[in-house]
Amino acid sequence: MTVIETRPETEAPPIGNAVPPKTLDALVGSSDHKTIGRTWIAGGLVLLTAATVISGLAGFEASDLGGFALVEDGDQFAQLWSLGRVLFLFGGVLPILVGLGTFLVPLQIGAPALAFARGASGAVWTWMVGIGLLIGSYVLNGGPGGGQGDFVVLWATSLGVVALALMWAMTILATTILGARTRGMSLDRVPATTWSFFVFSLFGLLALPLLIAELVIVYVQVRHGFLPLGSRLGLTGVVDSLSLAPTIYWLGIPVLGIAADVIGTHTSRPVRAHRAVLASIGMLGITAFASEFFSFASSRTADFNNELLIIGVAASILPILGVLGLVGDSLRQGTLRMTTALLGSLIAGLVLLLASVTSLLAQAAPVAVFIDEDTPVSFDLDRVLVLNGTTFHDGIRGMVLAATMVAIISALHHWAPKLWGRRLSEPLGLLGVASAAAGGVLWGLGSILAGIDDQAAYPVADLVGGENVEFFNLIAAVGMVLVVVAAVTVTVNALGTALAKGSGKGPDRWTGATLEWATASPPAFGNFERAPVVRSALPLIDGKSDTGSGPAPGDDATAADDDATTDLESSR
Amino acid sequence: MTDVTLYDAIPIDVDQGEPARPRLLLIATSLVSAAFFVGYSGLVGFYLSERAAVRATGGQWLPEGVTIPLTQPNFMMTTMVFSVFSVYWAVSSIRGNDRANALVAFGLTLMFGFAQIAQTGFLLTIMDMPAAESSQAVLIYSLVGVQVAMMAAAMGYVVVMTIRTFGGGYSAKDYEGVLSAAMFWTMAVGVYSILWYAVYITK
Repeated sequence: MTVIETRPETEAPPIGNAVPPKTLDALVGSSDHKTIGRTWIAGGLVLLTAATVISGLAGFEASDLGGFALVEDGDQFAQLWSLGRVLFLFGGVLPILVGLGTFLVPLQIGAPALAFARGASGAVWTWMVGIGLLIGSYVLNGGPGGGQGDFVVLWATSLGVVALALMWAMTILATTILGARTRGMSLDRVPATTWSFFVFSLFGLLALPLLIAELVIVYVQVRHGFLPLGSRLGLTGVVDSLSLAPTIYWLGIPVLGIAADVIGTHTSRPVRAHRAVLASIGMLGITAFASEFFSFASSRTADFNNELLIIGVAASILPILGVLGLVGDSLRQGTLRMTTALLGSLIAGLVLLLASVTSLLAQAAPVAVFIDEDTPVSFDLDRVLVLNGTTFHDGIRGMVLAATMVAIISALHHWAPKLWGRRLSEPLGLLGVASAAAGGVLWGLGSILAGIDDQAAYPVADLVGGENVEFFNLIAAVGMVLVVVAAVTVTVNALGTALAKGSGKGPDRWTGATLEWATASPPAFGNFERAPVVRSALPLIDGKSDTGSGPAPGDDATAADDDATTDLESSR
Repeated sequence: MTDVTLYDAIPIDVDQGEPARPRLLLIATSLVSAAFFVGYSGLVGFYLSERAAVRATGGQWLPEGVTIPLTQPNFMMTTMVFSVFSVYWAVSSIRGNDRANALVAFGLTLMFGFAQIAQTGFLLTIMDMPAAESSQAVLIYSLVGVQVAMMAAAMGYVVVMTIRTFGGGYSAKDYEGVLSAAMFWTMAVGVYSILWYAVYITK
């Protein structure tokens, strides 16, 4: 037998079902990627629920333009509005996605652990401290519209800490994918979910520093008195470099990866043209990053960057359509199992597509010019992006966030056996998917219509808008209430399952084709008995790969190994 | 046969991808370096857009009475270029198992880094630009401060690798940490070169 790798410094404990940490020090000190991933997810779910409630309150406040009911003035409204949106992104959606990646990636690529496992643990706890300070800064009258300069500075600092923690976690994810894949797993063989987290992480690593750069500027300007009280409302736009279309499709990258894996599994027909799926996901990342890079420090007003935004938005539709088209083949020819995971992935993709197509409305005028003129060099800037500066983009953002929420619900249902050793409640899951999708569409619709009716994008001292803005805002607020229902549902469902007693048994796969289904549920420390060797993108059904769950190649195959191959084949 | 391995031998017919766990530290350093560089570029982009806006209205960018001499920035740029050679001298020495030369190269690199930071302090002193009196000054101090912080981080990285090299942690077979430190150092020099051109040269 040839030695081809250095031995580990410490022996892994015997493989079996994982025992969750029972004490706080064990939780804080854990370097197991599964514990760290669960911590990200649990923290993210709780804050996501809080964020949806706060966004809903801001939505109802905006439905009465005559005065303020929940807050005292425009500054407080700006703080409420900003807290809801910042917490949604940096406290909820991003941490949950990072947590899913942290949990899943090593399992899907056949690695025993994350690269820099201690660093990954540090990232999650740094994020928690940062998010606590961020919330504290709002409470103490800081943040956009804040009256206390010191706490506006604290807001910029804590948001920077949160961004740094997320960046560090993404560095570790990308490093793990690049450097810790098991034998035979080239980059074009990694599962679509892992690939999507890779693209997602690279995007984060290149985009979050730009947010931090903006926060540095805010910090010094407020600290030295160059951003007076009246100008602090403008800080609500700081995170827009990350959260407006087409950059917001960054969040759609994992949505597509999850959809490809989940739909392929729940139809018992893995998505064909695996490389095409990976290429589409990568293309969406390029589109989103290009628009982010070229529009940095622009306030999305009419300037040359908008030409790139037009291309960016248009180009974002093609990758989404591409992935949905490829998974459509599985839906047509596979055996459908109407699970929350399947429906959630499908609906998430469709809502994402709806958002990207709708966002083209803002580009309709310049696109027409582009077609009509031979040389598209002289846009009429008064007609370009007429919806910029209105709540139109907030509506697009709402739809993308809701699509991401639906994808998260789908992913939690699909990988719950791995996460917690048991499946989640299907009725609650279906309620969550329906609420999030319907809520997201209503949220988007209301904000888009209000934007067309000239409602300003950012909270201002006095809420203003056209005749029907109050009604449109009410539609959006009702949508947000449905999103609250979805957030509460998924949080109760997931955390209730996580805290339930008893342990899972066996791989409990949905006849999945990727490596995480070859090991125990939940997997033990070290993940696999032996490092798997794969020979295709579908190692559990190609009949040749050694998935690391049984004896070494050359030994007699066990019934368990046979099952890994035949389960799926028999169900097709 | 009692040999126990973590991995089984790979059959010859297996289409092998990249090897397992190659150079994780190098990969992570590359990603972090790229992130830092993009972030600093964004900061400079903001500075340039603010400067262009002021000049477009016919205004003067630098505060009244403030001048940025060229001697110190150019000298620092030269120092940084030398430091790139010295840090890769350390890499080359380790690859040749020449630990003594590597330690000398590391020491020289750290000296260059310290010289750059010290000269930045001197430059700011002779610029005589009060921080709290103009937004331009605040922006310039921000850019310079972040650059110095990155250089200090690079020096810290090199110090750690110097200690590990001194302790025999690296050799011709494994010099990943040294190469990673050199890569991060190169990024820090790249950051200074942006500052040098955008602020010190074009003012």
